[in-house]
Amino acid sequence: QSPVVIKFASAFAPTSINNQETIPAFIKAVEEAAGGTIRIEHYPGGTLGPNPIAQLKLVEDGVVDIAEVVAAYTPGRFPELEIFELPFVFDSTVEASLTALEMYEAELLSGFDNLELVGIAEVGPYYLHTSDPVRSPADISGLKLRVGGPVQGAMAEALGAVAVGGIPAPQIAENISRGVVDGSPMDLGNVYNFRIADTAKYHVINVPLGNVAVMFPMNQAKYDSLPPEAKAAFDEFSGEWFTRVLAENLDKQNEQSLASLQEDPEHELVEFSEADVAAMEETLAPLVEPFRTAREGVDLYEEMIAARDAVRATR
Amino acid sequence: MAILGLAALLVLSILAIADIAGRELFGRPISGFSDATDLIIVVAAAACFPASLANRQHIAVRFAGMLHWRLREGLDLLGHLLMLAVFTVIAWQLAVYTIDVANSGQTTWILRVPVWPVWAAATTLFTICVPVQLAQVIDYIARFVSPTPVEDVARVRDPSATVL
Amino acid sequence: MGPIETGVAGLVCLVLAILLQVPVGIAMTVVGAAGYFILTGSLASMLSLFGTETVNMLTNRDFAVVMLFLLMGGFAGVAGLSADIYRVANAWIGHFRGGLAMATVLGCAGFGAIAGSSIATAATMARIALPEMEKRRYSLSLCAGTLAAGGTLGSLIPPSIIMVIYAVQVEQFVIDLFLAAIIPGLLSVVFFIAAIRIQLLLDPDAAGNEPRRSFPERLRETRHGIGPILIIVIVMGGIYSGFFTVNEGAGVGLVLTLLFALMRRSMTGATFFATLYESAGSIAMLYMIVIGANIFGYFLTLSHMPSEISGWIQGQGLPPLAVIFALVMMYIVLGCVFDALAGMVLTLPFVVPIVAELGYDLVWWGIVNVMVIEIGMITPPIGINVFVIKGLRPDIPLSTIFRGITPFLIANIAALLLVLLFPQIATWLPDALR
Ligand code: NA
Ligand code: NA
Repeated sequence: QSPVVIKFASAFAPTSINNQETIPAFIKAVEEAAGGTIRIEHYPGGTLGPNPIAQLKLVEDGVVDIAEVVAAYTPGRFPELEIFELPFVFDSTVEASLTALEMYEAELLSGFDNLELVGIAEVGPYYLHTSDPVRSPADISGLKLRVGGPVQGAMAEALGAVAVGGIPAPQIAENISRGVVDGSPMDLGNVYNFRIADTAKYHVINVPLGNVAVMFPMNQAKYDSLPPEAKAAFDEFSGEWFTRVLAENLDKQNEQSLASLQEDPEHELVEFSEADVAAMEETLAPLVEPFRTAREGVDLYEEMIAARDAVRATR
Repeated sequence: MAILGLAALLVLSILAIADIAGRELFGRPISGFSDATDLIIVVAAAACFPASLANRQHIAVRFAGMLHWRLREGLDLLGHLLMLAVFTVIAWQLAVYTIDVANSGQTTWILRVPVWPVWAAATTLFTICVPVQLAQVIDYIARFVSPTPVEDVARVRDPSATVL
Repeated sequence: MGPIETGVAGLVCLVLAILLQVPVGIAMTVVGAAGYFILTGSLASMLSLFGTETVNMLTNRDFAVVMLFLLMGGFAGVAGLSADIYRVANAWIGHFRGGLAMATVLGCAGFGAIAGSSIATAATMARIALPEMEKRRYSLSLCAGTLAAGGTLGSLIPPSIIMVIYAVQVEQFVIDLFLAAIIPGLLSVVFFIAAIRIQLLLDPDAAGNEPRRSFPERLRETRHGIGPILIIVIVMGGIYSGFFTVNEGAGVGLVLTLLFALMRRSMTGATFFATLYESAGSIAMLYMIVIGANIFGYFLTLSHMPSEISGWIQGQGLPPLAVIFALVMMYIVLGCVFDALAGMVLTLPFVVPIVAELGYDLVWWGIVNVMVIEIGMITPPIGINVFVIKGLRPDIPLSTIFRGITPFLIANIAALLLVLLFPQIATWLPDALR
């Protein structure tokens, strides 16, 4: 009997760490465990649907079976995931990703009707990268900063910066070099991928500015149609296994980027004083409020902190 | 329709100048300007389609039609039938998409404006394309069955109107 | 039938449909969707692609700039900016042998720095320059050849709609393509002028004489150039210097050209609406071509044909330059009989991986593509720019126009060869400004 074919798509470059390492590792693990009942075809680089924003629709329509979906590209579609963009909560991708998975399994995240979550990476933490010197919180005031969503926008404005929206991540570097913006929050790992390091030479590395969700949903009907042996193999490696490998690889990339920045004399790694960080934390504290009341009877922020602490306890 | 859509684009361009001036001179861009851009370009582009179909502007290589006028009209009719089918499916699928973004509550990035009204407008514009194109198909049927060749109007009338 | 056989059959059907007069965008949509259905068996997914790809293009900001540049070119024509550029060029070099033809080339280049399309440039300049050249007893073949070939500068000199389409499809920065095109564009201008000179050495009777203008008269004429120069400096200067993005620059240019048209009172309500209405037709047509190409792209990917072909070519171990020359030859042959833009959009999924794998710069390849497309627009038997001139002046025989084009075709091929052999001509400027 011929194997079930699963189309696993990503609109991002074949050289990204997800496409280069994590997804192939997942495919290998599942195919081996399924003993010939599954074949997973990997389509990186947008060969099957080049628009990153359309990936979710492609999964829902069954054009592809699994895709790499950036939740922020469809604002309002996964409302609870925005809470991970809050600053000062997580210190690594692994911690944030496992917390998100925990919340998904506790059914605190909506928007997943007809979708099966294969894995989720809460990429980050984001740090501020600028072309103008930033050595204290006061220097942020007046800068034009690219923001990737409403929470980052509110954060930029609370810090006295001008929030500029509508610039996709691959175009940040271009817009910094042309002076359209002065900088952007970004995870360390992508500072080189998006060539932001070419133009932004100042990096504030002790003020974590939140995490951003990249997830891998699967078409529910396709998942339900898998034969038992295939489904068992799939279940074994989706969820925690895939999420953990994803996040660990991304954290590895974060560390490599940080090391490269440290070695390069062109770059200045900035650490704000403890007092400054504490003051920023206070300035940004009101951003939490909307999430406490967004869902009736649930304090989403408290739920997230509880889940995070549970994750921290097991590590 | 097209005129309204492109006039909106013109207004957007004037706003863009205000946005640039605000950003460069006063450090204050128009808040949520990029959201407005994202919404207006959808309607502006969609508004061009009904006019384009009424205009019969499209790139087609009219090679085979040089052999005989009835062959030419028959092939044009075929092309326009396919076009009618394509626009019908697009209008239908856009309606499905509109319902989908309305139900899932999708908004713009910064101002969190719901996006479904824009897609409802785009769906309406593509739905208008269907009767417009149907009228073209009927016209081509008449030309195809006509006993004598009808003058070939689909030639480039005003080349400055075409691009490339 | 396996996926690859289905892919080949799909390509054959597509070429047939286009030869049978089906509009290019519609042909790609229908054949692509049918092929997708055959390969996947899923009707619902196939239908959803019509929605997905329409949504993708309607929301694509980079592509939206096409609307702005088209309108800007339209308003610039109404405002008479093309005539201004021509008058200035004429005042300074009109008295040389063949000076009016050279001024036409410069006029096309100047208007090309405002407008984004070849056909608009050829048509607009023909209305202005053709009567002047005829008055001075320039031969019809020289007139028509200069205009058809000069018109191609509208696409090669930025802004350029073809470059926007390429950049969107290949995911390169539009600004990089614009910068890369500047030197090849100027090179083509120089080669066209040289072609006129050489032609007149061989056939001195092909051009009449124009009196030399006095210096004060020249200065007076130059004042007319202030409008277009102002627009080029503000819009393109603003974009290149990073004062604003390409989209913002196009918006600024649109407003400026409209203001000029209003100030000169050349813009009536009727011409305003006519410009919008006619641009709408071109805009929808371009959107439809890209929507169709993207739907066809799903089918191609699932057929695994592009990866097989590029894998096979890489496996041959040919020298990279030989592969590049073979591709360029293929495009030139294709451009003779096929719609050149559709040809480019359609072949990108096959060709771009090959070019990238050979280690060539994709911005450079974009410029090569545009140059090849421009050659296709003036080669017989189907050359759109030639038909534009023929459409304006049905009394000029096609053979006369094609004869007039020959020297410019040689100039075009020489410029293309230089860019092929010395990619730095294109890549130097964007690299230097990065
Ligand atoms: Na141009
Ligand atoms: Na040709």
